[in-house]
Amino acid sequence: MDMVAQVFSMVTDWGSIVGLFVGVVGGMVIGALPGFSASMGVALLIPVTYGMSPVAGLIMLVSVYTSAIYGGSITATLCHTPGTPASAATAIDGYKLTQQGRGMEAVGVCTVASAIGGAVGALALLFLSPPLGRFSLQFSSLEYFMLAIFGVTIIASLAGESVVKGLFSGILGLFLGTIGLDAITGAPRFTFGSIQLEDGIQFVPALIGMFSISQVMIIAEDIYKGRSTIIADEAEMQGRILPPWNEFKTLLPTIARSSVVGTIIGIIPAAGAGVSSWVCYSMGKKFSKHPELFGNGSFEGVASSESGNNAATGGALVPLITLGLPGSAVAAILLGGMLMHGLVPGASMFTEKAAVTYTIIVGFLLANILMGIIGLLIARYVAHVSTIPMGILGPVVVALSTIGTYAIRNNMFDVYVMLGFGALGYLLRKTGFATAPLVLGMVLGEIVENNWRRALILSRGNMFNYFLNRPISLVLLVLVVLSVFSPILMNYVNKKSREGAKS
Amino acid sequence: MKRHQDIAIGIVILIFCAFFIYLSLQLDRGSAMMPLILLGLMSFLGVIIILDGFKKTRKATEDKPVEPFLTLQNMKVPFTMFFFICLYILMFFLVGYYIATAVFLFASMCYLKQRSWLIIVAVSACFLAFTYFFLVKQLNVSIDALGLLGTYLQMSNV
Repeated sequence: MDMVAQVFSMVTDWGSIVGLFVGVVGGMVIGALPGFSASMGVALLIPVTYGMSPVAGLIMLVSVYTSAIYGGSITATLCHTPGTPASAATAIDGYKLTQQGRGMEAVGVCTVASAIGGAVGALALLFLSPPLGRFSLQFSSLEYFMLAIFGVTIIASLAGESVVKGLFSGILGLFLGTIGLDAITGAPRFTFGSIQLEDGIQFVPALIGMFSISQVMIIAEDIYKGRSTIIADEAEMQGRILPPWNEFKTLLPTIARSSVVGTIIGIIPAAGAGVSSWVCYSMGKKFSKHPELFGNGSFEGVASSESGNNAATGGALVPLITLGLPGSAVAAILLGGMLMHGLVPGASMFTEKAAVTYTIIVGFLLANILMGIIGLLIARYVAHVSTIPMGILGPVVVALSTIGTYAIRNNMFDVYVMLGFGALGYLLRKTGFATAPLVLGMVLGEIVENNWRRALILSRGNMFNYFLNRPISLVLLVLVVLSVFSPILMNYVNKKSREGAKS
Repeated sequence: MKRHQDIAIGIVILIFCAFFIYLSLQLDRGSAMMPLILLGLMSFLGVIIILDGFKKTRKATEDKPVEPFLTLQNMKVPFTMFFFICLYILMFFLVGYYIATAVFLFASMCYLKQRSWLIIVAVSACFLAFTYFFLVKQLNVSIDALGLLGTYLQMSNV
């Protein structure tokens, strides 16, 4: 009972409530802007949370995460421009419905489906995380090393078009993580005499540079190619917000099924909201009484992909909070935010930090409910965001990124890091190197190296024997091997789902 | 025939790796182990990228020539924007945060083809007000203390 009272008091604190509202609305707005992904939204807001309590800050970040995934569906439906990759499946039927004059009803279905999917994901997080967290009590350095290696194997699935270049980005991220004082011996590595670099490259300024500054450089390029706004045509933004009840109630089984499937897919590292939306869309078509409507304007299609992608966000937080395993770029950024606030994923999240953890999870659940309510009220106005001229958005994002980066430690060096990574991010993106693996590599670098070297010390020179005597490590080794092959399997599932969706 | 840019990219990767391998070899064994493993892997991938570049060059035909990722021409606009951002950050030390931000927002919006003075002024004013009331006053971000003007304002407050 004490825990319930503590959680209630923390979640109803003013800071948490403000974080919740700002996160939900901010996430919706960022998600609605094509090109401005959930990753960028979370990255931009991490510095803002620095002055907040860990609870309020983390509630804001997880709210941005789920709301941005939902926000992407608004422009996907009304303008056929998915705000985030996770909304691509929604665009198929959503935009058809818009063309039939039922665009706002489709947005309403997206909103309700996203809220229910997100809430199911949050409940899974609430009930599945504690046992997993307790299990992680049995982990030593070797198991954490194996877990981090498991995380590294996810890099291949974030690689984008070129696996070789994606792997290079990931390993470059791991290498950048070695810059600074060696945690075991205290020797400076690649610091070139700079005291600032002895702390290593700060993760948040680097990712703000890579996601925000590089995006603004691309925006400048687009403007000179003749694009002035993200969305050229302002779509139909009028009409009722939900379909009639007798039509809507037929969608409920689809929403329920996709929410459960989406949550399970979210828990699998490397799958994420994008894969989940396609799998749920394809499944929705298979189970539908009117599969012929899929691709021609089906509310079921919209509901299945939207509940699936938002459910996956809650699922993705399960391995993140319990095992420190970020399954996607956004989860990796969230891990950075958690570490910045002194929250180390693992067993401690459910022992000494239990109240904070449960408050964040309850905050995430509330964010999904609030997202549904606010979404129904303001979705049509949020859609207008994508008509703001890019020439205004770009400079404002730069100014926000700069002050946000400076705010982390009141340190100009972080701003220089942001700048350097901005240019690097642009060059990497333009030459076909995905930036998400680099982020994941930077986050996991320190964990991999420190735990590996600790495990070496603990093994007293006989690593093989030490390894064989730890069954959890052996299981993790099997998972690592499976994970290496999972991108091939996921690509196959994704391809089949897309083919199934289009046929 | 034009070579695919992957070849040049691969060469840059190998030079980068060679430089850091040299630096790693100056470290003690324990500290150098992880960087050396990673640099070894990066060098291996660099070689694959070069070989892939040669393959793409061979595959190119007159109808489908090699398309460069980057040219001086297409980098002009984004790097001019980047130059603006660098100038903006340098200006913190010269004129302080607020003036630098106002000048940056004005100049970059003009560069990005915004023609409405009213919008430029309104956006700049709103952003500065947000910064001052939320970040500086509420969250105690001390960015206004930077630069000569910032120092002067801080001293006059004292």
